[in-house]
Amino acid sequence: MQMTLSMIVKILGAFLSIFAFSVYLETPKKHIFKAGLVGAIGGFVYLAALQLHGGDVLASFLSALAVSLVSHIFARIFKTPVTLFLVAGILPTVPGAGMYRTVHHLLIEDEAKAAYYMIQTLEIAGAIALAIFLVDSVFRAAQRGNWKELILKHRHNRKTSEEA
Amino acid sequence: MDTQLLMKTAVLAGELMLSSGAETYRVENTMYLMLHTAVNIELAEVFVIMTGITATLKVKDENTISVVKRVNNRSTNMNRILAVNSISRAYCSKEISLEEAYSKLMKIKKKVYTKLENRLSVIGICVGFAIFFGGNIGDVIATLAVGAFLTLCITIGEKLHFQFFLQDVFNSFGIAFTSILLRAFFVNLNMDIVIISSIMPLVPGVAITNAVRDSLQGDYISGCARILEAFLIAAAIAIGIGLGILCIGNIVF
Repeated sequence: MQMTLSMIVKILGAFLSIFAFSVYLETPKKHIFKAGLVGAIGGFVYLAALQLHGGDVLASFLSALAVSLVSHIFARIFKTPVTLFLVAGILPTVPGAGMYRTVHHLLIEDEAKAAYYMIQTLEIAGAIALAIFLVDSVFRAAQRGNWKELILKHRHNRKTSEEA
Repeated sequence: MDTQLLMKTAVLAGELMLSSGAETYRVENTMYLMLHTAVNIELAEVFVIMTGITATLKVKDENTISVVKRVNNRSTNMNRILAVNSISRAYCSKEISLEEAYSKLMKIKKKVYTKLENRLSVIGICVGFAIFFGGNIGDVIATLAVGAFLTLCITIGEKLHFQFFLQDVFNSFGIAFTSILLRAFFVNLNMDIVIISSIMPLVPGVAITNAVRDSLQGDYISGCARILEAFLIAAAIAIGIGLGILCIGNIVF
């Protein structure tokens, strides 16, 4: 696989779009650059997978996998909710193109192609879901429940106040 | 401890998060932890679905407090999720008092960015995707124009208070309309790339992501609701694009 100039330009495009998207989602200013970076990583994985002759669905899956992995790591490092990076970073893989092509082929009465693109759209949506699902499960298994510790601490406090 | 104020604060925090597009389990967890800071609790339960909040708090020797809160407006606002998150964490770890937490929640800013920045970001999304999808310079410039028209559509929709489904139909209709119009003047334009990049600000990426995360957490009602939301948005975009092609495609080609 080689990094061609056009690929670098495309990755910059992904960065720009996710940067703008996180502004659109009212992300605080100190996080928009990192969100753009997550988008650029997702874009890179997508393009790399396509270049290695993976299909659209596989490329979307790998890209979503990379994005959710990086989002979880960023969320741990910068102490923010995962959604902040995940929602923005997943956008390049969302099958907007499939949706458009389905409608387009329906309208020019090419049913076979319309059905093909509709199934592909659903497959990509499923692949994204599976990727988020996988990474979430792994991190949840590895997590040592912040929230739960807090709950236990409060229960303990309550008990001591009852005793007093 | 003032249980009434505690309930008010918890419900306010939950409402702010839910209307900003936080996952259901995050809202439930936050409210649950806040309610559990009360002393001598007999019962404290929170039930959150995508469209509303129910919470009950019973403290020894006091009346039960129950609150039902319907949440109608939902948009994605990361800043509010982050702010509520940090305030509730600070309150639960006893860094700030209940009164402080309440007043801080009331003071959370609605918008971080100005309207102009918001509109520019829409154009930025379109142009960025035009580059990502491999458009040449002509396509990128055309996408810039279509994106500018899209912001106009969004502004008109906001002025006329369109319902969200109609808004998406209207926006994507505008995209298809201008793209085909531009294609009529510039024959070499790659219309697919222009349309696909321009609909990217509208596609239900947020809904899909949240649907998966809610379902994984066991919140199946919210998960289903969000999947339905994603399908509705997708259908709205499809209808809008289809209408646009039908209306002007026959005239131009």
